[in-house]
Amino acid sequence: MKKVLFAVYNSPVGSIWINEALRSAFGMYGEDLEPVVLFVNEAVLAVRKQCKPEIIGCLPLSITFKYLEKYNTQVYAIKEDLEKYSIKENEIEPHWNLKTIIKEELPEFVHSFDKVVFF
Amino acid sequence: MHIAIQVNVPPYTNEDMDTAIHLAEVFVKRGHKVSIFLFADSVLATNKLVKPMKIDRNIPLKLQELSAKGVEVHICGLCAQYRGITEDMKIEGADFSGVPEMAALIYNSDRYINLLP
Amino acid sequence: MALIIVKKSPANKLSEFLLKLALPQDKVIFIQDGVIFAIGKNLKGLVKEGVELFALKEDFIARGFEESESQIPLVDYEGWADLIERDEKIIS
Repeated sequence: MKKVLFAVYNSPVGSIWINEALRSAFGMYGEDLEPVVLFVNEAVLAVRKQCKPEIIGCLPLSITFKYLEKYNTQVYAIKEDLEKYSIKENEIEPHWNLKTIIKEELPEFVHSFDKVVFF
Repeated sequence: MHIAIQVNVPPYTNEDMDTAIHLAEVFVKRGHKVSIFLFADSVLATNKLVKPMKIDRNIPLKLQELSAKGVEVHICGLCAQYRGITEDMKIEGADFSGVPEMAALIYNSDRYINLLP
Repeated sequence: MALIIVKKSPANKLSEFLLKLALPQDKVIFIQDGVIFAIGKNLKGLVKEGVELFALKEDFIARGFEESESQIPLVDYEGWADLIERDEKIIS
């Protein structure tokens, strides 16, 4: 089993990278790979229940939810970035089953993966 | 050694395709197996109908030349459909694939070089 | 040990984020607009002690800099390929 990290630093609205990162992650299960997704910077906006790219006609984030559930894909967000955007725990969409990680732990965390792909 | 290079952004607007091509050329010369995975807008780099100015480089042609030297060129199929790149438009030697092929490259390659968007 | 590729300019916050990921004995290569880091004064302060920094010569010179302006070793594509061969893990 190899571990692969898909880290997204781009905004969930107006750019496709969160959708692409998740689509990539779901495609990894065909191999002996364990994908993990990490939201960095503006990407953390995705986790708030009210974040809906479909408001401006873009692809919804919610299309990923059934796959998150099916594969039990682990999604992390950086705690300090959630705080920066004042995202409270009770505002987080439960489908993300979100875990948080503090910045200090990131170097070791990122190095724990065999392959790392930033979007 | 198997070297995989993933590109995500469009050619000509960005340097990434040029970076990937230069790097692939070096690794081919060293006798490594090289695979290029084109994701999102980078699939536009396989459109053989492009007409750059004469003084500029022809990126799809360069990719085709690399493919003739044994480099695998993977095009994310869904990304290509989104951008209207069809079978008859794409350069010789590049093949439509998808996320399963990306997974295989991530699993099997010795080095996976993603050029982040 | 990992090789971290930094392709965005110092003005982009992502570059700083990636530099902070570097652990001692990691290597960082600046490519594309990332090479602008190479003219910086306090480069060592950007990364943990024991992290080696390199910049891609072709990208550096193409942006109008003289080789002598670089505060860190410049490597060409062959040198970058050596770095890739050496480190199994690539963060980019």
